Amino acid sequence: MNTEEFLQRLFSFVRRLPPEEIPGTPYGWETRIVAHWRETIARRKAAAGLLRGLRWAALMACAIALLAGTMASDELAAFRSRNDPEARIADSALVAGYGYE
Amino acid sequence: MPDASFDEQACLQQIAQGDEAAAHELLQQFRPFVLRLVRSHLPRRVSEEDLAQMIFIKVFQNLDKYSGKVPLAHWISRIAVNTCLNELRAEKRRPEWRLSDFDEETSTAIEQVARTEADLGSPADARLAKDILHQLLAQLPPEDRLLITLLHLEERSVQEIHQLTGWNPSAIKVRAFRARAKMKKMLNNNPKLAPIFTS
Repeated sequence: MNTEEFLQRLFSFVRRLPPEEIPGTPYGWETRIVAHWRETIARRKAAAGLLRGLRWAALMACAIALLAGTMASDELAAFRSRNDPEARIADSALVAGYGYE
Repeated sequence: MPDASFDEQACLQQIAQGDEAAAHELLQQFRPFVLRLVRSHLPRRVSEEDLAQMIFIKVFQNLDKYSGKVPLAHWISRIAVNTCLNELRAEKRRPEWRLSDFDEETSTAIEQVARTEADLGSPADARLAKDILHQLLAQLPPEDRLLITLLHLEERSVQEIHQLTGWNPSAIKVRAFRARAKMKKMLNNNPKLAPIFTS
């Protein structure tokens, strides 16, 4: 007999063995797994809640920045119009009136 | 495998809603299946329940990723095989087989199995064969051990093994050939067994 035949014989013998009995579920085995699963769900929910909170905070910050920008638009427009020719004439007239030069 | 009456889809839906009873049902249905997988892939059975527990924890952690494209049993068996493989890798491989490792008892068992006709083997012969095979498999790297078990003991096809492990089909064939060659070498290198394998 060669070793290949011997190996095939080993495999064939072992395949013929009846499947071993499955023992009963150990006490607390299922509970441990289910508890772990619940813990995972709770952890995921907490992480999702935190993420949702952060998203809201970011949105609120954007909204406040936009609102503040809109409210300050008049001031910005006035600041921008300082270099207009009319404003420059008025400025120089004021400066001359006060005798700064 | 789960009972024919087990409604997989309904159970998964209930689990997705956080139903603990459905989670217990899933565990009861698949525990024997997972334990059989664990037993056939883990030679040292000291922690088969722990390993099954580890597998089910992974199953529940990833259940939301299960798409339903493959049967649930197939999906669970892939997780089980990968978990077993990781555990087998963690086991320290024994050093090279030495001549003294084949004690008198094993040599006699090998002789007896070699003498017995394949069709006439008794349950006692089958148990002897199982012991010898476990001794041989214990010397192989985890991947080879897994492959020999899947291919020659569970008689799975190369395609099935590819689906279970993700290994390339041609690599599976080459690895299986090399694993068998290693096992043959272990038998051939023992002078006590020389008369059996040369006659």
